[in-house]
Amino acid sequence: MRKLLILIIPLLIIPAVVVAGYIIGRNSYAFVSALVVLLGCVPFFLAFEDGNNSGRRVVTLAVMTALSVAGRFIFAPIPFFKPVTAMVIISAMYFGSGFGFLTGALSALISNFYFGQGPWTPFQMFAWGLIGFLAGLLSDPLKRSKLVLILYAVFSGFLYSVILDTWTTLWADSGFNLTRFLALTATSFPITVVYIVSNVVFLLIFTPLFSKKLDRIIKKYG
Amino acid sequence: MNTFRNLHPVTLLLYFSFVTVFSVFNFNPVYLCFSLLGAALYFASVKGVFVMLKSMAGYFIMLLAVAALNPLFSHNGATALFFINDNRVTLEAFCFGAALGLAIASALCWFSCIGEVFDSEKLLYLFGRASPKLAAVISLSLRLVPGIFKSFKEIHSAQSSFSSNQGRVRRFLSSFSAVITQSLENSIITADSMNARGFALKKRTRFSRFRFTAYDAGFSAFFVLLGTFICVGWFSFEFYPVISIGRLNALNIMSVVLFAVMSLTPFAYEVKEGVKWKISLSKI
Repeated sequence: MRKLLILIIPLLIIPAVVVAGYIIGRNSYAFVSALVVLLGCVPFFLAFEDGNNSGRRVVTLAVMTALSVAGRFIFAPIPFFKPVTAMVIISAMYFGSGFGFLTGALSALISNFYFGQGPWTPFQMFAWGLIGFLAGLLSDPLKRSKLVLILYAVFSGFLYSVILDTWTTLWADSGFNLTRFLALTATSFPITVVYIVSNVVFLLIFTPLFSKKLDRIIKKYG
Repeated sequence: MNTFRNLHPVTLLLYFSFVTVFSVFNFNPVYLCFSLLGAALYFASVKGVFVMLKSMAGYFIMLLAVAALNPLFSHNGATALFFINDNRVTLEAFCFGAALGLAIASALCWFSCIGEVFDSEKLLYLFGRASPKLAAVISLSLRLVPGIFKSFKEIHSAQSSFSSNQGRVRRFLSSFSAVITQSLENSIITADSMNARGFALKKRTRFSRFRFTAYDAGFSAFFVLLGTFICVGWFSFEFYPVISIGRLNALNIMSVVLFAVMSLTPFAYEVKEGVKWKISLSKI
């Protein structure tokens, strides 16, 4: 049943929602996009449920998520220094793409328990999830070359801001209004740049440390 | 004292998904005014009038800003007020901006109510059965976040007192690194302990203190009925090209009235229970 759903949701249900939204009319953009994004997260959740995940993997996922959420509090005294994206990327690099998606999606969900849930929650979940998923696919080049790591940190900063600005535009205009999108992107640009810089700094420092930490744990506990 | 949040989580989920969908994805100002009113009153009854007024002031400023900015991005609408750089600034775009601000304000207000009502326990109860492993992850990390923060503070204060020559950011980073190591190691111990207590077994039950009573069923049926009739009689409000409402009939009016009833239900519930509480007190 679950295996079937993992296939049916992206192949049938999401297209059906989009077509239904098209038939209902132009005012349904925001609702349809929120629904599509939520449904997009479901196959990853189902795959995690189905997969052969031992207790250790479950707890590790919880710890990585908790670390990225707690990081938002810990670095609060340093303005704009948020390690969430970097923690999601690291988690994906060392534990795989599905794991990365879940770290991102759950970090968004759980940190919004503290910072406020809203209609943006599904989009944050999807954006961070996607960043984690892609990092998992690219894990080998990311581990090997610092340049790729920096480029990916820059890319993920942009991806996050593009996804969230697209949602704001769709919500505000019941359609894609390029002027508003560009204005939003321009206003959020300085913050995006600061985020990107903090991501790069964080990743460059923590990626080598993290592999050392994991090696140590594998040696200690097997 | 019995309060609205003590209803069964399924009933609450039903209610809040109705009101948020109706508020977030709808720009009809008539519905939105009732939505904002209901959300604000309920929020005031939960968090106090002062907190509510404070957030309302914030929403009002945001509403004005959105209304003022919208005509700059959207040049639809027939009634041009004036021109900026050959771009029309229209009355309709301004009104749409105000409605959008209203939608954002009521959505934010409902979401702060949801934050008060839905604690993580209710959320885990609702979605835990569909996905027990994920529910375990969420409840574990909710428990870990405060612990990690606490151990960070301990480590950080120790590190700060013996290495003052490090930069601020560096010190934060090295303390955080220590926290990562500590939590990863603890995670293995937690996992082994969970496995030893039968985490991986197929049949696991979970404790919950929620019971679906006839009272909850009644409320759920009430919300479904209201939601259905609101949709049936939905009346459209068009901003572009000119502001127009469809011809009103009895169904439309019923829809608005029922929507008002729906938005005000949580507040009315709190008032009713509050009065009951007062009466029961004076008898003692």
